[in-house]
Amino acid sequence: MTFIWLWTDFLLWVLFALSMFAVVKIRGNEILRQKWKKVFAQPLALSAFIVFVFYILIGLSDSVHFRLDNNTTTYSVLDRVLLPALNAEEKTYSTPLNFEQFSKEYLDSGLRGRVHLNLVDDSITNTGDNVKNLLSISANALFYAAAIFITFVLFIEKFTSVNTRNNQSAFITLFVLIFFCTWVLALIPNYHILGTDKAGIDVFYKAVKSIRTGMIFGLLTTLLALPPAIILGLMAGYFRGKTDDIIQYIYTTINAIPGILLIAALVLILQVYMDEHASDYASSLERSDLKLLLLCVILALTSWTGLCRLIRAETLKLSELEFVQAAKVFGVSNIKILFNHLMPNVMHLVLISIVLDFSGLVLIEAVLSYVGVGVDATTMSWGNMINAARLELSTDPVVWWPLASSFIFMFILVLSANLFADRVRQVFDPKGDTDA
Amino acid sequence: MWTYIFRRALYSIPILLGVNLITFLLFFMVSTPDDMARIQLGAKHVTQADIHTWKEEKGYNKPLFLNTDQSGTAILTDTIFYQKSIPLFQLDFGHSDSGRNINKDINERMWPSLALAIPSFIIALLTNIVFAMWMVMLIGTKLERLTLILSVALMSISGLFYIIIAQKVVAGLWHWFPVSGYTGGLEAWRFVMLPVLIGVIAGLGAGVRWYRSIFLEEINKPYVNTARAKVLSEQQVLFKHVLKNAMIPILTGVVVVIPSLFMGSLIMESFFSIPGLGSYTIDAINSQDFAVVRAMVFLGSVLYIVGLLLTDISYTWADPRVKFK
Repeated sequence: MTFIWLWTDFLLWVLFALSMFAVVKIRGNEILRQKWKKVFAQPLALSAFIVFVFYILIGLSDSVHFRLDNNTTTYSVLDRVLLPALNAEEKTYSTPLNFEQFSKEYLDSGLRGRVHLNLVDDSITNTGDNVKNLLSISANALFYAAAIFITFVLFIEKFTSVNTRNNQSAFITLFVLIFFCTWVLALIPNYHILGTDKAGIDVFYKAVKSIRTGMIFGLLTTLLALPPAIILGLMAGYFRGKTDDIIQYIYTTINAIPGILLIAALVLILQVYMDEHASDYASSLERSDLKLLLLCVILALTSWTGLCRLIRAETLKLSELEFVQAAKVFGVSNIKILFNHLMPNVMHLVLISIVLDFSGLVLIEAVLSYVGVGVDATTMSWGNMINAARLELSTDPVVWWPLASSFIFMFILVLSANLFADRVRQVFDPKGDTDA
Repeated sequence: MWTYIFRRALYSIPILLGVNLITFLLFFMVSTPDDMARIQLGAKHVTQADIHTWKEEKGYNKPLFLNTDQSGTAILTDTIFYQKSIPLFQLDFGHSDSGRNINKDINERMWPSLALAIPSFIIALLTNIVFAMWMVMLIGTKLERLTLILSVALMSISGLFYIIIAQKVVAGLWHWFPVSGYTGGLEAWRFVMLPVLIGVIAGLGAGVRWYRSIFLEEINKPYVNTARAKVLSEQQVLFKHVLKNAMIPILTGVVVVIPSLFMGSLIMESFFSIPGLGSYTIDAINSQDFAVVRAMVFLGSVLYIVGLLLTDISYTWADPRVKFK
């Protein structure tokens, strides 16, 4: 078994390490710890956070790629978990949890009928049996979920000081997620949970694989946009004069270019370049991965300006305050003033913009795919799914499940991110809503 | 004021130069005229001679920045950069790579874009403000929390879903509106209504929250208490007093986009086959027509800068204390 590290894998894990580092830092700082406690004190925010972490875990499990010794295919950990769905070779559409194909065709016997799906047990031949089978699998899953959940709660009660009664909504969320996992694991060897698409590929598999793409869009872009935004924003606010003029000029110019057009133009160029150097990439996986990364770089190039402007304005105010003046008088070097004295005081802006931008970035991925400047066609993403689903909606009867699946997966991620972001903004923004 | 406007217009020249330089670098240095010729000529077997003729026709056969074959000012002027960017400043966009006159296209396609964008803009503005005011009135009630969560849910749905579902259900299944298309003249309203409606709903969540946060900053100020002490109705307090005082942040966010309404909406127009500038741009992106994309980028930047200027001017209208220096 050989591990294969794609660029985005690597960066995603770097990001993970950075956030773990931040958690350790926060735990050591009394004020920050109180603030985060306040964030999680709202049940809705806590539940949203748990769902968000669940998505992140799926994204991370999809970011460890390896190749088995006797095989040329690259798998991720997630692929191995969903292997039955990945390997089931169906011919065409089937509705969620069905046992036969969607459309009728001439069978070997010469009659018109629906072909039985490869994945589903051959003994199931009518809807009644199918429902019975599904119910028994679900009941089993529920039993396992309850067992895991109760063990977990007992463990928490016994070994930590957390009072489970005070966090009911969090534990309900947790139970739903555990049940979801056991249910999926129980069904995946026997059913296409969300049906199959035109080429017979499992839609659930596609929707789950898209989580990583969405995560990379939302997280990596912000990670890439932070350094220029923070450094230039601090410099403009602190040094003023010529430096300020130049930095302001740069971001006004970039802002002046309509965002989506700039992105489109950059992606067009990227496409031309990659087509010409197609032979440089070892595999199509690496090629599409690089394109995803460069897309994030492009988005970052166009999106750092907003935060930069906020940080500049804040730094302008801060540099007038006594602690900065005192540092100057004591002869502290400019770099130290910038990074040790000013930067910690603008971090709340950084945090708020990370959480607020995340959902917008996940949503924009779909738009970019629609405009034709999105991720590679071979990369699984909600944007590509929605794009394909547009044509399917005009068929009769309607093929609704690929669109519905991408919608639900995307909606839950964006909603939980938005709810959490809202709370973070309330707590950390000094000007934030005071009513909640 | 006129001297102020004049000075601001002067300031915008370096920004436009910067925009032009960026787009020029993007379009001509990263992908050379030879690449463009290959894309436009399409076929796999393009000879060097074909490329040469195409470049000659479109005026791409000159050096990029410096023409050392020429003398005097022609060293600078007889280059692609000069030839292709100076006309832009006179808003002369030249011809697209497929040979169409871009100015003529813009003149024609501007109207459908405006027919869609102006109603969307006005209706969205009014709905957002009214709903935000309503939410401010609800402060302290159970309903407030519900509306807040509802607005978060609304803004968590991708705009594409609103469009796809509405087009399928409202237009396709119920036949309330035509599914797509456009006609000129007054009949256009039938085609524009559904996209406008979708635009308003899709923007409602984020819009309402934005206005609400602006109003919340005002609601605790002393003048609001005074107004209430005068036994004005809550509607009067909000719409007469709070709205006027919240004008500056509202104008900051709103006025800057007004000129850009010209550019149309990329997504809406291409979904509903409205022949505006938005779908024009998408078509250009898909056919890799760099001349059109470049023209639209430049036009967009000019309109953005005009928007910034209008914002400043609108401040004097909203708050007589604002003076230009």
